Amino acid sequence: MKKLLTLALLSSMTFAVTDSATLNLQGTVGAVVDISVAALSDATNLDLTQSQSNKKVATVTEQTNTTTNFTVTVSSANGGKLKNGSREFSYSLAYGGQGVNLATGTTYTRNPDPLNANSYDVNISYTGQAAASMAAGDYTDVVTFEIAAN
Amino acid sequence: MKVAQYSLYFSFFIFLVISVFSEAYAKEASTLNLRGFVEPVFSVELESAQRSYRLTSQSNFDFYGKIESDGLRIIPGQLLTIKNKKIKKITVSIN
Repeated sequence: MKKLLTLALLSSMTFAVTDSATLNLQGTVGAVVDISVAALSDATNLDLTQSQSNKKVATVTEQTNTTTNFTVTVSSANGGKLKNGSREFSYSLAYGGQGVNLATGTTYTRNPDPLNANSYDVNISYTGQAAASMAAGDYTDVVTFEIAAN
Repeated sequence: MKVAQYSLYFSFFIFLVISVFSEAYAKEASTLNLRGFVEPVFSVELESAQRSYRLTSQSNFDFYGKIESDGLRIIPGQLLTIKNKKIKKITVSIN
């Protein structure tokens, strides 16, 4: 009887010192966003004496791996004007068929579409003017497309 | 138990650091260069009015040069009075 009690006591002591711990494992994939512009030759060869309506000048491809909404902002260095020194020539852009406010920049909110690349056309419109009414030379602007994950 | 707690805190810290860096780099931009052009044009117009001639020129670029008519140098826009002389030719030199 005494042996049995001793054995039971030792067994209970053994169980009393049992403990457990957990190891949490976690992997992370950072948000990646990508945007590229494929310009057509017409983008840098615009005859300003001839009117243009929705002339395609580039294709922009957007891609992210995020599962939340992301934004694409389109802005102009000259606020929607091609410039030759102090001389200006107004134009307008459409991005993916939607008008862009180049004076202030336009931000588009996209639904998440992880791992899929989506392409959008960039089209330019302007009213041509007689060459004699404008100073000869090159008129330029730089349009920036910025993609950001929220 | 303390070790597990610290491990949890450390994991959370690493997660925050990765999140911050991921957020910082989750932005990219690309540009589109636009260039339009206007060709240089030049025109001269000679208009007779009674016994005088008005010569006007128009250009959409700055130039160095001269406009001559039968040896007379003419300043664009200048009103000419040429008595008893007919203008045979106008020469425009643009350098």
